[in-house]
Amino acid sequence: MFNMVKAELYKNTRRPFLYILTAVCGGVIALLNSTFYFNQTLRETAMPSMLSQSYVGLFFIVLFADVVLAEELRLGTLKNTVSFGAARGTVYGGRLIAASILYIAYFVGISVVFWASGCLFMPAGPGFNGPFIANFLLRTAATLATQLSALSLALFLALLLKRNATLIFAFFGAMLLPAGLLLYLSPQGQIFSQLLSMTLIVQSTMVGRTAIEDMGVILLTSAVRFAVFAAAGMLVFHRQEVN
Amino acid sequence: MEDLILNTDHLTKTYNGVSVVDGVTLRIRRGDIYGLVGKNGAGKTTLMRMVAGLCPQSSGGFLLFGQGTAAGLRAGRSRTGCMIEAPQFFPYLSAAENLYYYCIQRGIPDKACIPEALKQVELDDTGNKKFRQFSLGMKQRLGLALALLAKPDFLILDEPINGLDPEGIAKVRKLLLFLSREKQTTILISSHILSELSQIATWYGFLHNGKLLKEESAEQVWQNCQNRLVLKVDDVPRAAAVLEQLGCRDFEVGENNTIELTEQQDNASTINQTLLKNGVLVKEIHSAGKDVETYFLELIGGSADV
Repeated sequence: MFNMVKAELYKNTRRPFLYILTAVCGGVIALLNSTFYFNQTLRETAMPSMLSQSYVGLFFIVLFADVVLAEELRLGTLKNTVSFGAARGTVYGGRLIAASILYIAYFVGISVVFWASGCLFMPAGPGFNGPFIANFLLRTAATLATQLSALSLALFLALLLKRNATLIFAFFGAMLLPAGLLLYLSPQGQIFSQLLSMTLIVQSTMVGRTAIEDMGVILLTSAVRFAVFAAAGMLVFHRQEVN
Repeated sequence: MEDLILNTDHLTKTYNGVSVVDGVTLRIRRGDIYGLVGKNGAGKTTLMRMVAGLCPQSSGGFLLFGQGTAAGLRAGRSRTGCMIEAPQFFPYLSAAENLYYYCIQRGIPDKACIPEALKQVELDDTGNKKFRQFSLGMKQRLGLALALLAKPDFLILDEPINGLDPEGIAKVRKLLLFLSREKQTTILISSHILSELSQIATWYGFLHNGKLLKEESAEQVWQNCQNRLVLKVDDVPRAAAVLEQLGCRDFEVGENNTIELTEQQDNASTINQTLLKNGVLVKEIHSAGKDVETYFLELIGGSADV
């Protein structure tokens, strides 16, 4: 498994994808933060509102699933790995871990830019203190957890759909359709509202605003979602023919 | 047990009720160069894909290096180098980078195997040229380099000389013979170019419509192909009488005073001497036969795209 992850990291650090994506997203974040310099918005009001926009990160998840798996299925390079005797679970698990590491690297990169530009362009008010920073970091961790669970979903879909366009549509469909259905059903009962609050898209948009006590639910749901799609992916890949 | 590298037992693969590989039982011994011969769609690639673990069999089974369990097969595959169908690599990486990726993945500690494998297939001068810029022949050779990377005991090569020029084909032939003779590497190889295959194969497996029609050693195939003795004589009736005295019953008289014998090919010198003693002038005497391609086509009972 370690070798599988190491090889994926070697491959993906030799291509410009990760660097360009981090630079572009970091640049956009720095640019947004710089606008606060002119209207003197305080860090403790601007930063949580920025966090609630973190669902934008979901748009890039598919790219990470693509570089570690979908691309290989398209190119037909997986046969080189499987024919050497690598266990299917190791192949899939290794790619999921590698995609997660790459995504965390990207996330850390843009977070560093976010903090640095925030500290540079926004003044700190009296509310910018230790508890505020702890609260903010917890929400950041919850954001990362929801996005990693989305990555697990995207990787599972990549196994089923090789084409990029189809994969993107399926990924957003898988995020939005259950939420839409549960939203439609929510007047019918409390259970639907509760399930709606556990959907990926709702959790991603609410992570900046929801009560701190509910962070545990978000973290737990994300962990379950990650594990379920990882297991489903391994099961599908175990039976799949490799071309 | 280790002397049998691959041992399949009624191996079958079915797609939508159609058997692509149908109850194939074959044995590949250590050091063999086993030529798998068959038309397009005969099941050669599917058979190799099952052995390589790329698709599961529908029924039957196989032992690789004497192992048949999931873990045992994985261990066997780690001693196997495969090139099945067109070689595929990451287009944005160079030849060395692609091999380095697989070196890490396979846990090969000695990275010296990369330049060594590239040198064996003469790709050591490609530098930073990316895989997407490679010609068909170069891609094919990189596929071969990957198969050789971990110094395998068993090579599975599906049409390895596709896209190679005559010089490249000769070099691959030389390399495979070197691996077989010097490194005792066992090779399972399929090729459409049977004349090429016949220069290296020590065993043949003839596949047709998913079934293994026959397994024969290269010597047996050669003997089956060299099945006629052609004589050109000055006096055909007298020669025929002498041949009958010698006990030859199965011969045909052809044009230009030729006689073709389909028996006693090993007694060519005796036949020659007897004919001369009886006053028959033998102008020509030679063995005649067919090539492997003709032999295979006769075996499957018709002309075909091999």
